[in-house]
Amino acid sequence: MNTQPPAKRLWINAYMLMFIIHTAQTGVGLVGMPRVVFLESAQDAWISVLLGSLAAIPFAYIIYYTLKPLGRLDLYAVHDIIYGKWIGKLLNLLYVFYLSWVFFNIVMNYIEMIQAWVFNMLPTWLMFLLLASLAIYAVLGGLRVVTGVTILSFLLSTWLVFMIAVPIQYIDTTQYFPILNHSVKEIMMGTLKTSFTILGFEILFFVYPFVDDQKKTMRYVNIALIYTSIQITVVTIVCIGFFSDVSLEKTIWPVLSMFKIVRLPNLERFEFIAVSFWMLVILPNMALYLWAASRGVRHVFQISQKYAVWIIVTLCFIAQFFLSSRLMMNMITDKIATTGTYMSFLYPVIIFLLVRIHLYRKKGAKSNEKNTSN
Amino acid sequence: MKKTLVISLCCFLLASCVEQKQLERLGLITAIGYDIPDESSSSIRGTVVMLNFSPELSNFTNIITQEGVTSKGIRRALNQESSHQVVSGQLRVAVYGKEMAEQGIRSVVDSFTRDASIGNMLYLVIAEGSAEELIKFREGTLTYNFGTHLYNLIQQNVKDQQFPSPTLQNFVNTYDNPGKDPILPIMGIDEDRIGLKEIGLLKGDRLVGTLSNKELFYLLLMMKGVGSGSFDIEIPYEKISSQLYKSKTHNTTEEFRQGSVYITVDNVRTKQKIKLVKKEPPTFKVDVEIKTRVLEVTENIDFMQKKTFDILTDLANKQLEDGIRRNIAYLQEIESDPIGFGSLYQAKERKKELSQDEWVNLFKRSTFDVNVKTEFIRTGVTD
Repeated sequence: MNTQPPAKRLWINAYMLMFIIHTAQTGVGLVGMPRVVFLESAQDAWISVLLGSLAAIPFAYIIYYTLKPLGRLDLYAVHDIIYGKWIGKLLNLLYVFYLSWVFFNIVMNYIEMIQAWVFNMLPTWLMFLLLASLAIYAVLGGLRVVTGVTILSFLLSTWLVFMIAVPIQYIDTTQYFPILNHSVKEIMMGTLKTSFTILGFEILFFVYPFVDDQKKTMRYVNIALIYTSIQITVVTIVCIGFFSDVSLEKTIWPVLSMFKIVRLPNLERFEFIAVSFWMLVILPNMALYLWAASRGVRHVFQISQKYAVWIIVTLCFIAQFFLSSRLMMNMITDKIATTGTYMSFLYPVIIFLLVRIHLYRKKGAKSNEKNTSN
Repeated sequence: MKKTLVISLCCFLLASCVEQKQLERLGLITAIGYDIPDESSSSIRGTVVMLNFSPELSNFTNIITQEGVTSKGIRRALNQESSHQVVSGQLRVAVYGKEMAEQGIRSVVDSFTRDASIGNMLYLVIAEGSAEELIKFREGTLTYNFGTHLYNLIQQNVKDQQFPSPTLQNFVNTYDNPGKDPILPIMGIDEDRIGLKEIGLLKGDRLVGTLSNKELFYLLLMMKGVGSGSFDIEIPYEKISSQLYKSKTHNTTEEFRQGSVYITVDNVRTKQKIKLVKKEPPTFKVDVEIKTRVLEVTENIDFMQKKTFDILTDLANKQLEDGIRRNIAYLQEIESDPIGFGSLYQAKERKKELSQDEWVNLFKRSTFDVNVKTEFIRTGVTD
């Protein structure tokens, strides 16, 4: 089994986690999220989003405390320790499948966006190859290059957030009222629907062993999570005020539709720029998930990560041919959102408890040994 | 070396992978008009203004008319007739014939919102007669692009806050809101010019009433973000006679003593506050605060005295309140709610969501308490 901690030259600074976690969270989900949540809790959607995005914080702590006592091990190695060789392998493969699926879904969602907004004749496979080649290029460089990509993407794309200032002028404030007239259940359903957007912090499971100053991990993770929360809550608030009920329910990408009214003197249609720039937003997503998935393949089959990357991308490329309609895309996105919710909210709790039990028994065994030797 | 080669090959070979659109081969639709040819058939007639760029000729515009069942069907038919590929990315204005507007325009608007290539800032207007007539006005003699011309005409008026921006965005948002109705400008031909005639009030997507430009002023007073412009205050002579400026050089002429004095004031800032005070029956309190400056006086009124302003304020308040009340009564009669009283009501109603019909019933029973407060802040550069 390949459970050696990563070499020191591959480590990254703790503050890089800020960029990694934030960019892993923001992606294709963001452009469609306000509508999906709005369908559940209408004008109270922003409360759902705020609750949902802040909920990530305790779960990030759980991930941290799961890995902390074990030193520099990632989730795959933890699985091996807890479940033993064969069940561990199976679970690792399941996790690899999940991560690759997320990777696949991100790429497909973005391609759909391009086809709907800019090039409607663009063949899916071509765009898939172009995007995948970028991700492969980043992943083959290792985590340090992937981290570089996240920082680059963050710096180049944060300005998009400020473009929201234009739609703010068109907000109709009556649309926020009456506040809180939805049942707790509806608001919680909205919170669940937010999960697809907040997903991404589970990447900590795999990045943690590479962090240089591990004590500072949570500080930077928290900064990232809070920044994401603020960002997506503001976007949701603006969307609710900007669109009337029925319009928001019908608009697939409300954030992009909102950009439609931004008009610069020499650029009439800003949303085309936004769609193109969105590639920078999803690139770290793709790279991080592909990286994490390929590490899993490498761990399970004991092959070089390089081959692992090619295997995953090839499988995704084949899968891409079977996905053709908006309905199917919706279904797959919904499925991944639910799976993701379990994977990043429920599963960490389970693995946390199992690790605790394991450590407790090990401690017990050790003290027993001591007793018998005495 | 190998890497560089691969990268540069990618740059050059992939550059034209996606579909291309060459400007010279495109026909850009800048304006489109919709009409109903006759009552019996379900087809619609579309008239488009198409702009071509050609290297030999200078840019020229074409006007083509076609019939179809859907708006995209019309475009398809147009494409068959044109030597250029017809695209609608530069569409600026959509004109609806009055007859069509009376029957509902939603079905045609849908094609705009669904198509990503069409911008949200497109203007929707209603033609006084048929849209075709308006678009074909002075066909052939025009040296400029008609679509852009119409667009600029509306934009200029919107910027001047003569009426709220009739963009697609605004239309769809108000149409989709059960407690609010859209308003669209009605354009007509005035001898040899095209101009803004009236304002069309819609109920849902159907044209149900019109307001003259003068009456529109009172409607705009209640709307947020708009409501500027000048208005005249009529003052009966006997009320103001004591406040006239006594000068040695000119005396008040005899004819004025019988009639009224008019004073034109310009609206500097308007603040409106509409509140729902009671739910059953719906009672709204409409407070409008206007700060104005004097633009023109038909008689020498003495602005040095406070009493002059008291008289003027009273009269202005009364006149504006009457205007607003008259306006609301008309809106109730035609069941159109462009101000959004419905969404204000909805914001306070926690139990259920109103449908359009429920709101119309409530709206007809609503009462309104209108208060206007006028304040004169400047009198120009003379007293």
